[in-house]
Amino acid sequence: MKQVSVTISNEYGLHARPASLLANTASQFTSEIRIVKEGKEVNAKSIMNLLLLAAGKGTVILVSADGSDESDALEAIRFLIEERKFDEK
Amino acid sequence: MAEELKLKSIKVSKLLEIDENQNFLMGFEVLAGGAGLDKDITCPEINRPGLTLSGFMEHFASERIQVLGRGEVAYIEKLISDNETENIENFFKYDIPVCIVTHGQSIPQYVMDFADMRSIPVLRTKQSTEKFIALITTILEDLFASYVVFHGNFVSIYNIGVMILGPSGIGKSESVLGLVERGHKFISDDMVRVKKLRTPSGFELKGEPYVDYGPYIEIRGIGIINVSQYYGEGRVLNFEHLGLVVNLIEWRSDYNYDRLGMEEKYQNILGLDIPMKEIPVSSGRNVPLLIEVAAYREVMRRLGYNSAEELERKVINFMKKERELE
Repeated sequence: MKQVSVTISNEYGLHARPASLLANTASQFTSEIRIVKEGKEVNAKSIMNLLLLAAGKGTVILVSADGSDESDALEAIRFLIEERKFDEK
Repeated sequence: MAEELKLKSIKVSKLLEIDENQNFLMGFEVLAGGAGLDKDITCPEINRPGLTLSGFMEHFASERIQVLGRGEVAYIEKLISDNETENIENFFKYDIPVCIVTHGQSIPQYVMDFADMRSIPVLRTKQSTEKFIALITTILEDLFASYVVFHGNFVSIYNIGVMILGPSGIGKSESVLGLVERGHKFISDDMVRVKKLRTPSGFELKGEPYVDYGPYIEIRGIGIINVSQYYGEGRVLNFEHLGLVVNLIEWRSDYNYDRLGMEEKYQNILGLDIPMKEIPVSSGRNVPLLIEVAAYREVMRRLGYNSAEELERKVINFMKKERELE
């Protein structure tokens, strides 16, 4: 299992559209992917789970992946959140 | 995409057939020219031949259905009693598809003889001229409308016409059976004709059976079922206005399905954009239920509701509040 910390950096945080992007990205990997924010742990492949986090701008989340493609999954998710910023501002 | 088609002509006898299907709303009777019932009507418009009968032949729209109202019939009677029948003879020299007499009027034998001689059918309707013109115009526009034929099924869910498309064997007919069982209405199995009709506010699409043998549906492993016999006449409709296209697709793990429903997708049919939903099918998914919800979602969308947008507002507000607390 691998883990990485990422910071939500788009203005509106993890709202519906980014959550959908994140869930779709996570769903492309076979690894089990979990996200933890302040003790709340959710499944990254579920939009409704991700929305429960209410992760606003500046929130640090811990992404963990467990499976054969765990490294690729973490990198794809980190890239989506930190570099692409969900294609938002 | 299916190609756009249009009827070029209908037989005069088709009008009698339609009248019969509409419980003799027109009450057509053939007065004369019965030999011409297989003549073609090529034009979805009508003409009142007052000018022609008074001797002005220019621009005579002879290819149209000729409507003889009270005025025309009275004038014909006057011409005959005055022994000035030349205009009537000239009128019948044209290749008229059909004459229709309104108000259940009788016409002089002289005219009937001409019609018989020239094999021009003369029909009589019990309707008034204005009512008849309104009815026949609607019928002709419908008959001559542009249409496309789809390999798919058509149902009415909460008064929304839903066309279900997808590859053979994906379960379109089974879904329709499920929907009928849930109380929705069957329109067509396997082949659907979608017509483009003019409305006061523009155009709309109407879906109906491609060939109307009756409400039959084919279910693999069971055979052919008559929907009205099994579920009741009330579960069958002749047509509905198309409001939603559902594309059933095979479930694929690498395909990005719409998970939010915040952006509407459309399918262009005959130049009109119709809301479209792609529904992935896999075991364990209750497809009739999903199609029903998609139709209900369309009802709500028309009313201005969108659950995803509503949730989105709540999440963003919640995140704002959390930030303010920090």
